[in-house]
Amino acid sequence: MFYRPADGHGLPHNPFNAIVAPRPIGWISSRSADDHDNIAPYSFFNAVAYEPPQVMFASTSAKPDQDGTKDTMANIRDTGVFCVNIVEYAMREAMNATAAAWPADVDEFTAAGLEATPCETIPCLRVAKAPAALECKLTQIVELPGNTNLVAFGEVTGVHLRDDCMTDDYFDARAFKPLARMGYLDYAVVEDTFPMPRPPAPQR
Amino acid sequence: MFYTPEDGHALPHDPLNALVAPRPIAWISTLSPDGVANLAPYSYFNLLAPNPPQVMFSSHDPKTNGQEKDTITNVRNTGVFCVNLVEYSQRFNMQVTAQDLPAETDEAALAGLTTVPCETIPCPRLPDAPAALECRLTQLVPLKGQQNTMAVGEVLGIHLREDLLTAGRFDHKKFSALARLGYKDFTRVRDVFTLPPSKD
Repeated sequence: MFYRPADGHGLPHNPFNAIVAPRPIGWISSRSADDHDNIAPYSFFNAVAYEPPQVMFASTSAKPDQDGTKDTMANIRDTGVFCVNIVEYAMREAMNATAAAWPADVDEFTAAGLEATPCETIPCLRVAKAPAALECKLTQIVELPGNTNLVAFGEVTGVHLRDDCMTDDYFDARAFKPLARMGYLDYAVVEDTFPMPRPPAPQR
Repeated sequence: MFYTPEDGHALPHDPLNALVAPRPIAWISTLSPDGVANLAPYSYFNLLAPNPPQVMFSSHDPKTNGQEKDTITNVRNTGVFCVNLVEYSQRFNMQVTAQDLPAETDEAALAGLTTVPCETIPCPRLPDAPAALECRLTQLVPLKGQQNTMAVGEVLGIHLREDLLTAGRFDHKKFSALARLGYKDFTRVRDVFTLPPSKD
């Protein structure tokens, strides 16, 4: 089928998020200017550059108790730092608990029973037992067309890798099984991996 | 272990791409201003917003000759691109198009892939792809570092392959989406499960 989003999809549920999937999940911890800790999952998230290492995430809705956005983006706008925690399959229920629209002064770490520990390079908490965590300094926030559509970019200033996720010096997805977001209310888990070397540049 | 990128990871291979994974793959088709078709995969790709629907991809390394990649040059010059999604059975065709090839090469033809014109933009697409998103460039965001650029596109037209729809849902149980991991690794979606929204 073909449709123009401007004319509507004519389906019972919007398929848009199911098309671009599986999406990595950035479980983003931040701290408000008045020291309330926050953590929430974002799947409009990815790496954007290697040198220097940079990531992005987009926030596309607003809460009534924030100025045109959600707690995470409001905190980062105020403090300039955030931490991206990576989510393993075993943490899916805790992650899902932090996805609810809690009031700004609720510490989702506590609400979800998550052990938190301070970051090394930024004033922010991270999930102590996450497979990996990326400590980030905000480089820019870009406004996108539409109401409350914002994308934040961060430069990675510190990287934590859980020791039991390392196999022969490789960060091993099979050791922890990354959770990924699909469309609708669906998720997927990475269980098996296979290598496909990039073909070499042809001789000229 | 902990490291700061500034001081280096001291591992045989950079783990960064293995941390942000699985990444969806955009198999991006473009045309140059003089009509040469291009096709290349990008995994620094994702959704950005549902309304209006927007996607991003980022180009973060030059070709081996030091020039900007053909995809980003074409998008800059024509203002349009098409994101084709990739299923497992197309993985070898996709790898053929991942090579560092001269700008005048038509990668779809090289990989034996059929293309048809898009509906809303002057650009080819892959009719056999599970889905395709026809996009109009809305902005190029320069990122810190050399040749790091993120393109943002508004989705003007969406193709869904008819055999992948089940009761009006785009059904990942009817195909295996290919996704990128770190190093030289890929994965495929084999199963999905539901987590209902939690109540606060």
